[in-house]
Amino acid sequence: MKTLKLCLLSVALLLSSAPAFADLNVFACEPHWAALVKAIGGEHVHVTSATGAYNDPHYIQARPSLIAKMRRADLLVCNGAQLEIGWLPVLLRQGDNERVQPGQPGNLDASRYVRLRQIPTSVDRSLGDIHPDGNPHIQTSPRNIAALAPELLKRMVALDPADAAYYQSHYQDFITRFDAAMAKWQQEAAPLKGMKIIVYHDGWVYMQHWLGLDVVGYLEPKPGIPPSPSHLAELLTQVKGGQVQGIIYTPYEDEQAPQWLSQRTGIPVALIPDTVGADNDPDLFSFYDLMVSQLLKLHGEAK
Amino acid sequence: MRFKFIGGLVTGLAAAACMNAYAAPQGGPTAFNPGIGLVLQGTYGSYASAAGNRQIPGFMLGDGAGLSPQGFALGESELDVDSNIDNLFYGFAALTFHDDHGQGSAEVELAYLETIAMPDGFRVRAGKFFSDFGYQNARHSHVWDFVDQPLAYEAMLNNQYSDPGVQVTWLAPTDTYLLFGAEAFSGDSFPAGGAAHSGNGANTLYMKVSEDVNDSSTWFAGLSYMSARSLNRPSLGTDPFDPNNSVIDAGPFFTGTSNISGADFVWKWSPHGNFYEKNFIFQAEYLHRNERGSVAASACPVGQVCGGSSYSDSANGWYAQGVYQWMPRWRFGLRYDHLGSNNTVTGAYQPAVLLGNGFAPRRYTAMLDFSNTEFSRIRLQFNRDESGAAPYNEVFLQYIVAMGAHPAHTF
Repeated sequence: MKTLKLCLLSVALLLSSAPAFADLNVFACEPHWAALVKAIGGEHVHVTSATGAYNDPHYIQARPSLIAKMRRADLLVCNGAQLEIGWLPVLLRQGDNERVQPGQPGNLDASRYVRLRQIPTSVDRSLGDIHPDGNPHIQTSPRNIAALAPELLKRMVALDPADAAYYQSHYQDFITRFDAAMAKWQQEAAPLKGMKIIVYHDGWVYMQHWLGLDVVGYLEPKPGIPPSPSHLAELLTQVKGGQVQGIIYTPYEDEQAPQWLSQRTGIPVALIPDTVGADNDPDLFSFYDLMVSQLLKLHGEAK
Repeated sequence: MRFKFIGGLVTGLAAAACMNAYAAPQGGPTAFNPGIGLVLQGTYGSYASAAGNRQIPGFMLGDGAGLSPQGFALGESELDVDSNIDNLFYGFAALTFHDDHGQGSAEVELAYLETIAMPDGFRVRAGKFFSDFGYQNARHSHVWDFVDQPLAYEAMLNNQYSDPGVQVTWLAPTDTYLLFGAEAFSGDSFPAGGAAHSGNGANTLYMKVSEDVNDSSTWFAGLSYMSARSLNRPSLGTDPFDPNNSVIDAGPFFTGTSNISGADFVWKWSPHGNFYEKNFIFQAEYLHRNERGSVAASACPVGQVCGGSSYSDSANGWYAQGVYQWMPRWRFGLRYDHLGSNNTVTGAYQPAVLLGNGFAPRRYTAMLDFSNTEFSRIRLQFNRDESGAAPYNEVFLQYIVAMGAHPAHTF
């Protein structure tokens, strides 16, 4: 008993004097923020993302490996608006890291820097898994990425002033290229205006407004409730003759329901990642490139 | 060691006092209300009445052991309140409500505060809480994968050990999750008992380690040690004249120490971490206990000789379980429980419950559950229970629902 205590104490002393790195350790809840941090921070940041393009960000487990990463983070960047409510509070509490607690410069909640849509007037769980602060899937429009970028730069400079010049020049370079890309995407996507689509989960409202799409149905009967036969049958009668031009779903959503509806209606279906990191999709540019090209493809296939 | 922790706390307080709060827009006044959640549980139990007279040969049980009631029963309903208190502390309280055949009762199951902003990975918790001994002990009943706790927990930890106390943990700044913890408890509850220990009758030490194997698999392992002292600790008994099998405090009364060591291992798998789509959880624990002291037929005042017998045991228990969610919302689980005891009772008093040497209590469990959302679950469970002198079949039907705010679950 006594030796065990001594042993624990010596290990504790040994590890608590581990060297500190000058570079920023960044914990991103989602990969699009990791990509943005990398674009600004380059080689001066170590960035890790809790979720990936193949994860449903609502439902990951508060894995201890993430707690260990939270423990060492200087900056936390998340969508917010309760998207991560099922796991982030545990990581924050068990990560034992005062630098990234809410209210600290190391805690960046993106939802506070964009205009949230679909803020519900009434909240009831019988309506499904709705988010009382508004729709949290803000990354489906690049405008929201651009809206957060200056605040992210501000935080990175505040936390690591030694590399301020580096961050600023990288930020300038990125935002110039990103603005140009946004203009290009908008131009390419012009034919998509008014296009009627069905989506799996209500996670595309920002893309919808950005490109002027019209989301006419959801494969989920209610947010967070998986597609049921009765709901799909309802959708089937609803879309007949309704000129729906596409069905979209993400890599983490089951393909069965979208394929089923597509086969019975002839509406083309497309897999569109809702964040960075799927195959051949390493950064924010390729992510929105893929989104726009997949939508254009659907538009071309539709009768 | 104590000085280091106090030093850390003082540094933490000082550091936090110097920090500038970063201005963040706030919602309306409701944003300051604590999260309030209510968990409701109910069971229907079907088994032979005799199975309700819970005895596990070789083990003195605490008052928390036993099957959930026969027939319709309101299980433990729990009112949770949790919130950050300020920039230093987080608070959690759980009030539980029981209904035992029309006799209602409420108790403070948990009430603790915890630091959130200590430097260097330290965290202190104070209040009444579930010990982090082992893997299963600190898990709230509404996240259990089965209706009941493993036999080893029922026999050695009274299902779930909690008491007022203090916990200090330190999380290593390593890529591998590595946590060390120590706890000191009042020692009112089984396996401790009585008050001859100046308000500190149970202590634990533990470490936990975990790594992700890839984006689909994570393992988690722990080692734990608990030392508990008892003075006249009563054992679970049943009143043979009461048709409701009501529990009374009865002999044997134990005075002495219980030292329990535990090892736990958990493996969780889900495709690309999409737990919602599909997942598999394997969980196993091994507990070993040494009890040393005396047993008596009645509570014996301190300093008197009451004709008890000297007693020592070397007991062990383990379980292994697997739960597979093969499609969203539907899970299937299997569990196997095993206990073994080796008691030495020297003296005239030979309590029947300790004469279990050579008998290995065991139980086979199968479970099927459906969760409409993460807020509701319905479960059917079958036990082939060979923990007592005669084998029994037990069937349970259970619902668990959560209303309101609900703290995120730990791994």
